[in-house]
Amino acid sequence: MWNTIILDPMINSLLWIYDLLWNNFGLAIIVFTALIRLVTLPLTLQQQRSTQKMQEMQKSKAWLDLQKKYKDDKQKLQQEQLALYKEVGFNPLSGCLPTVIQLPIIFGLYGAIIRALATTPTQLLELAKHVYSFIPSSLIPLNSHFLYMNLGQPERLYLPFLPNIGIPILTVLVVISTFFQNKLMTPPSADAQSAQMGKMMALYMPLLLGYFAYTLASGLALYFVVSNLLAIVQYAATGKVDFKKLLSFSGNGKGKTTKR
Amino acid sequence: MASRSQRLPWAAAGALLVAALLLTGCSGQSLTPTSWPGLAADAENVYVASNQALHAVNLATGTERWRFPVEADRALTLYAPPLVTDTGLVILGGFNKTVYAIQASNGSQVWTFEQAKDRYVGGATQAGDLVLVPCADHTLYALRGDSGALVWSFKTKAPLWAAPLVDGEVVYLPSQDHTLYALDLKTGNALWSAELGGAVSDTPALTDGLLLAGTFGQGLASVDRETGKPGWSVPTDGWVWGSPAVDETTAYFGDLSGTARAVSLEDGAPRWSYEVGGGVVASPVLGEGIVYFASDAGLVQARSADDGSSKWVVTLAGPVNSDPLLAGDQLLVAISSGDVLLAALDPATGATRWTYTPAK
Repeated sequence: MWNTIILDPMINSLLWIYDLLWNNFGLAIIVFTALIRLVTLPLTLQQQRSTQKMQEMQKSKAWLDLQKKYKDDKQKLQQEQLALYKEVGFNPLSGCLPTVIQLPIIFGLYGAIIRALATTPTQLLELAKHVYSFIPSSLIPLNSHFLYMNLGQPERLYLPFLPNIGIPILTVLVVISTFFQNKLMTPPSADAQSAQMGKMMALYMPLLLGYFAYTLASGLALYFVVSNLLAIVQYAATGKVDFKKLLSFSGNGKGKTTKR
Repeated sequence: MASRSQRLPWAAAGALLVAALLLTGCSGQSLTPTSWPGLAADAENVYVASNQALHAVNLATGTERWRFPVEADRALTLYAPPLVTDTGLVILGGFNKTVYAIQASNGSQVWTFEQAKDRYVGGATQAGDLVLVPCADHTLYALRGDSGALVWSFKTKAPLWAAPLVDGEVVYLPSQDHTLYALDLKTGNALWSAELGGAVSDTPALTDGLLLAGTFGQGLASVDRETGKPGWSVPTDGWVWGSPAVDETTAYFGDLSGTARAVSLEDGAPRWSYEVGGGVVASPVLGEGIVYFASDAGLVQARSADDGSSKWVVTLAGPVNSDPLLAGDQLLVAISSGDVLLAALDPATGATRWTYTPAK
């Protein structure tokens, strides 16, 4: 089911693009990631609209009054918040749904890149089971070289004057672009819990993806960088990006974490 | 007691950790074996390279003689079929970019070669004083058999996953760049190359006038052994991963779609075919009038070489992707997953004589 609906079409689309783009797997990853971003754009926009609506509501007098009034009764506060959602016609799930729909696509994209790279016999045998008959077998194995990288191996740049020290350029780019993406796109939150969670995500996510980029195939790291940059560009195109946020290190939101 | 606002960030971190595990799991690099066992034998032992060790197993009893390295090394991954040389060494490369020469009698290390830039997947071939080792860094390394010193190297355009074939002074080298190369054994210079239209992942077979090679996508291809000029070919539905077994008149091979075939060496005309049950990765092996096929569904089958009629079929506990081996009047079969690594079968009946399960 997963293979038939998500993974196989993605692997074969990736191979088809690779065939079109002069057997350049780096370009294929970039174009394929851009196409997936384009296809999921309506979901991304819906998610952003929902987040914006949530933010506006959290600034409203009615919301702030509720926080004050029921600050000592969390259960009642939740009930009243739900009632307010209903009153203003806001569905709290409308922000989650696009994310839930996008998740399999993101995992499928990841799986397609990993499988297409196939650098061991078992991986290549697995790939053979996914390739449609109209994809020319002459494409196999893929040319995994892109610029100075072998996309099937973790990336390191060796400079002539530092021949023994591999510099993980792509890992650094992954960490920076993930940090920027989080910084620019995480909305300010009036809620202390959400703000703190946002701060944690902004810290952990770049480190986690950086770890992946450092240890796994560099084709994935390339995907992370391209995906992050495209997400920022998409967000900027909606006119909501505030680049001043990049210079702010006081957290993602207005909400202050409180010590208890 | 932690407040909800204090717990939530840890929940987020936990979710990230789960995502990390999922992604790492999806990559297939953490738990799944990356290849299948490699097999070789001499008069006394069978040598099986699988995962983190090379196992020397008594051919008669199935008991372990020694293993290399003695203590498991997590950095070491060995899958290439070992080469047993006439000087009593076992040569094989690992995924750690190193070629090891090991004393066949006791498992002690004699020399290593560490100049490669990628892993070793294919087995080595002996040519007199040289051992020829194909590497995934696209290079065939010719090393001195007694010391591991590099004599010459030859670079292709894609990974090399299969042992070369040596005939006299000529080395026939299959490459995943879709090409079969003929090299001068003394110098490593190319004599000719033949484009086969698909990756070649196993050693070619040699007949009187032809070289036969399985390809990914172009079936079984033949080329003239002197000039590299393409001859007949046999198209197949699935990739032909293994190399064909040949006798005086016929070539036998299987493909990933699960079809086993016998074709005429004269023109590639079909003699017989049948569905094996599961994809065929392993090269078939020829016995006395019998050809043995193995499949990734765990089936091992003996068929009459004459007409393809079934002699016996056994089902093993896991996929069989390694080439079976006839040695010491036994058919040795390595199993790609599960506890049992090796089974010795009676070639006449398929009955199991012994199995080898490595101690943890």
